[in-house]
Amino acid sequence: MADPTTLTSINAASGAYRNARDMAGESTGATEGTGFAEMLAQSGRDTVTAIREAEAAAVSGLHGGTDTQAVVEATLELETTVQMAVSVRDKLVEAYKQILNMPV
Amino acid sequence: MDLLKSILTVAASGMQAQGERLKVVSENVANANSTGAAPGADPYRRKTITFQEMLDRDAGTSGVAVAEIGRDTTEFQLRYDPAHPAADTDGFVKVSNVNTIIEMANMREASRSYQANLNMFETGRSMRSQLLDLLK
Repeated sequence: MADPTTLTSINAASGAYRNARDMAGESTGATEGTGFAEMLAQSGRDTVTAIREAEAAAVSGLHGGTDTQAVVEATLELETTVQMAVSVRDKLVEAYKQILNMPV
Repeated sequence: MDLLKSILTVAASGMQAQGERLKVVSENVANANSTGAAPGADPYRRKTITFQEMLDRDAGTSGVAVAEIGRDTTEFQLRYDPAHPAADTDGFVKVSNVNTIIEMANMREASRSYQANLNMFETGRSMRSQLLDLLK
């Protein structure tokens, strides 16, 4: 599903997926704090929720519970969400690297 | 809600609706020859489907939904077949009011509309991934 040409690498995607899986995805309240960290945490939680929903849809689709269209929609949503999470993460890592390489 | 995501939702509702429409068409075609079982009994009555706008206030979008699956009230045709179990005392059998030509035209239209919605979905998706590619 995850096209290697669009994602930076499959490993990056699976790493992000694993990280997201370990995160607590329960509380998806409204964004109260306006800080950058809070925003990141919120989008992380949204990502986890989307992944969980897609997993549930895929499983129930394989059992014959959901119609095909819902499974396809959830899977595509999962792809886009993971892609977005990976892109943002890559960008952050890149910024961090630039700070590390700064001549002191 | 994300604009590009709401495009996908609207297109998906259109695909769902056209799927329902094709289901009704297939029921009509399958039952085109269904007659009643008892003498003078009514045969299969053609099903019709109507759509309506489905407003999503949270996203501010208008999708489509099936409004009603009704029945065609056109009168049944009579066919002379005295040997049929559903034949009345004069030997006439009521046959279904399904017109296969109309159903075929309907099928084509459902298929084309589905395709149109699918293209919309595809375009929305590619726009979204193009936007994400900016981060690379």
